[in-house]
Amino acid sequence: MRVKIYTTPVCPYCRMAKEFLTQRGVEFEEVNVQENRGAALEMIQKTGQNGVPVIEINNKIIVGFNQEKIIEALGL
Amino acid sequence: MNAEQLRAILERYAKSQGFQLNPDKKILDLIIQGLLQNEQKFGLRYCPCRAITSDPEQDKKIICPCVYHKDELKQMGHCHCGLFVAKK
Repeated sequence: MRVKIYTTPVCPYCRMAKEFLTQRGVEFEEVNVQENRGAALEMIQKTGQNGVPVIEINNKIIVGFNQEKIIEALGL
Repeated sequence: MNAEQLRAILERYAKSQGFQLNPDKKILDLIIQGLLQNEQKFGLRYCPCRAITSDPEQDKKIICPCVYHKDELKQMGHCHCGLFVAKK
């Protein structure tokens, strides 16, 4: 399963989303959109908005820290 | 500017607009810390929960209070980052 999370370093909901994934033993790739402008533009292109966190689970995009959608996408 | 000063400014703004700051102190402190870090790093108080694109026209929209916050408050009861919440 491929899990990617777009974050900024000081976003509370990004921290919560990462803790949520870690607590469930889900490995993920983190992309800091504040340091990586290419990734920022990629995220905006994929979602049509600029807010983080954005979580991509097997190509399914979840905007914001939505626990129900994350669980569903992970198949937990 | 320190966190207390910024909190006071944001509180006055929220009150003047009929909403309030997030009562969850942990979240509020993180957002204020993020705004101050962005001000220190980029010279402007960009929302800590939005991507900075380096396009000045686009990035202007995410200077706190961002252009989206009032619509988000109406739709979700809080702005995207959770700084401002609607009064109950």
